[in-house]
Amino acid sequence: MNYGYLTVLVVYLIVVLGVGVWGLKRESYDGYTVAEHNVGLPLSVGSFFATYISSATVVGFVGYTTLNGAAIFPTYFWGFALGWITLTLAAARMRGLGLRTVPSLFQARHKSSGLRAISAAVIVVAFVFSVMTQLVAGSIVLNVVVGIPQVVALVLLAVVLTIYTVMGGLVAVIRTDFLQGGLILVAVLSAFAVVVANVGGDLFRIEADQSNLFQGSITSPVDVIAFLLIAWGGVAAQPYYLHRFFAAKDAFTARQMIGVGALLATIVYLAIMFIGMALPQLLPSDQLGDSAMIAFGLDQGGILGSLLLIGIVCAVQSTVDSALHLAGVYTTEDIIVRFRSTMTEDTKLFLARSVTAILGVVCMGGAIYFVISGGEFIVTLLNLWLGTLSSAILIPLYGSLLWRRATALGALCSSVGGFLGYFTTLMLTEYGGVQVPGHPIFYGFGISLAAMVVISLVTKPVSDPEVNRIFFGDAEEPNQVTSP
Amino acid sequence: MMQFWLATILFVILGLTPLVLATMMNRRQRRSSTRETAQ
Repeated sequence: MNYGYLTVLVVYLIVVLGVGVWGLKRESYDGYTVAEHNVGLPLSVGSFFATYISSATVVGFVGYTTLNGAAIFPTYFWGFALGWITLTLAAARMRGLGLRTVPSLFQARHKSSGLRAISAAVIVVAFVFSVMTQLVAGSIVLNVVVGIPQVVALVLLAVVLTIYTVMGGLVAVIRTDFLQGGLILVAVLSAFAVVVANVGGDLFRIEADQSNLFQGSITSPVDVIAFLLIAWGGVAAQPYYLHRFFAAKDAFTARQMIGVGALLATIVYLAIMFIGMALPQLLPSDQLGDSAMIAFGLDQGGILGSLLLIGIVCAVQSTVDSALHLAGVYTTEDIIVRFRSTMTEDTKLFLARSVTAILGVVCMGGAIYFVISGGEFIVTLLNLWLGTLSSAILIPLYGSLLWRRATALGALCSSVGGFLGYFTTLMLTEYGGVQVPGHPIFYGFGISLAAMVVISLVTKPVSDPEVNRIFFGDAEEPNQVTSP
Repeated sequence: MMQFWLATILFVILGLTPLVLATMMNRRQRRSSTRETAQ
């Protein structure tokens, strides 16, 4: 066991717990769910950025670049950037709705509680798997670097973030995100500086095979389009980021949160890409891939090793606390409360906290089970649900938000059709041994888009002045003035 | 080599676009709300 790293980890966990729960006032339900719709720019940016950077970014993308060079751009980076642009364009409109949850948009727009509950269920299940995989990934890093047993590492990570999320809700999540975002930025930029110090001018010596865009997951231009769709849709329809719009104090903050957050993410991605390009010069070939960043940190040791360790733990916790919080809030607000509309705000707050705590324990238990049983299929489940999120949520959400002619049945068929299109094709190709042309995302996205357009056009739209005013900025009908 | 730098430049342009868009859209909204207040 490395006691130096263990001390750094314990100090970090105490500090983050303190930042999460220190000075919390008696919380309201609105505070727990959307931080009273009153978060300013610095905290919004910190929260968006920290939630955005997950362990996949710090560990996975470096590893992918060490093996596949410039293919990281078409596989992930370009699509993500298109997602940021879409979020910027949607920010003010989303903030203007004044909602508490993403699924409630469907009820506000179409008066459809069924579509609201279905989309909430899809999001909650996706988040439960996301939390479990991130916890497993974080515990592997702690096991390798610090030397503590993986289950103990997992419990440490999960218990701390569950405590501050349950106690402080979105306020605590955003506060800790701000701290975690800063630490991630420092860790990645320090690693970049150390790489530059080691390789010098050779940082820009890109080998011919590293310059090739068609390697790794990308084998043809069709793959480029498929991965652009997945990455773009995965960011643009991601409830983590959309929910931050509801918490922002106004439309200006909502837009600029993405603007500045995207700038920080661009800087981190460039640093990560150059680290990945340079590590083959510094590490033996058997340490490239997913283990590259950890091997580099261990090799350097000292302050950089500690910073990278904390950076990775921050990346895990900042993404997991947001997912856990939203899973608890959406289960409460979009599913349970629908059955008992007479609940007081205090009862809802107690319920949201209880559901978040239960989900935290369930996720921790599930992650421990996967660690003990050595199951690999958790990653397959995560990919399946993330693809489902893009196929089942993206088009109905943006169609409802931006297209006046969209109808409830169109959005419902788009969501269910997108889910079935992606899920069925993926199952057929992965497990049925059936050769289906193209990527499964084309079927999910294509069916979702076609269903939204065709079914909306053949069904009668409901004209509601309130919906038109909130969603499309129509002025209210002037009251008729009668002369005395 | 050239392909790598073009891919990087494209990413930087796409990555900075949200900041430019958000700044322009906020400025336009502020200007129009100031005009409305003045009227």
